[in-house]
Amino acid sequence: MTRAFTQTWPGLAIKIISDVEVGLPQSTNPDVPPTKTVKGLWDTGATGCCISQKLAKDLNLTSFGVCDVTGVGGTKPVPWFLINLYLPTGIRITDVQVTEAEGLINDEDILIGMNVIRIGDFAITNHGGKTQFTFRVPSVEPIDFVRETRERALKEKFMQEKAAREHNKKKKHR
Amino acid sequence: MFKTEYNYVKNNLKELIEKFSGKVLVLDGANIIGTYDTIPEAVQKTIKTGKKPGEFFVQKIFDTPEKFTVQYYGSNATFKSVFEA
Repeated sequence: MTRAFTQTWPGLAIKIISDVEVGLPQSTNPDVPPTKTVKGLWDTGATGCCISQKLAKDLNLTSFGVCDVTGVGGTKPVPWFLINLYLPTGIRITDVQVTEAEGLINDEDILIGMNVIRIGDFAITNHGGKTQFTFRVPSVEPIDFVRETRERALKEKFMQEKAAREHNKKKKHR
Repeated sequence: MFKTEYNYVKNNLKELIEKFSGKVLVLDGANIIGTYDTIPEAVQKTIKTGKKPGEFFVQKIFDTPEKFTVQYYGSNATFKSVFEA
């Protein structure tokens, strides 16, 4: 079953932030409900997710390993954890691997990286000066603006030609 | 925490990729105590053997060394090395 959610901003957004819920991982705590609502920053520049040290502590997470991360300040070995991530409209992603960040700038608690984004379809539009973000799981079909633009141009051309034909027809009858 | 396991993986990366690419290993010190297909499976089955979270190290073995590093291209996160802490 496809699940999707859409968020619209009153103007142009500079960051895509959603309220998400997090909880203990399915693999160690089956069917435990989410325990905390936090700010999640969608980040296509991150290969994986990361959470603040504070959130890891609040959830009382236990590390399952250490992996190298490359970010500001070079490459460092940091602990990683598993969490359950609950997106709006009931999208539940279990056992998401997250690394621990010492700090996240601007009060976000979790960066949602490509390991989550790639499980579905993700799109941002800015029509009418309003940013709209939409996400669905699983992926349903490709979105291709080039194809859409071509199809729209063909449709417009067809409508113009049809209007011209009707105009000429009326002219003949007069 | 996990310094032995982390160093073991780093020092034996080439050999681990050759032998276990696509698998998930569970290590206790420098010993491989389990091989699984997914991380959740590795965690669940290792816990069933009596080990508690924090007592074992889980490592996904990717097909190339580059994939072992998680990358954050933006400037929204700062990281502190676990072994300097």
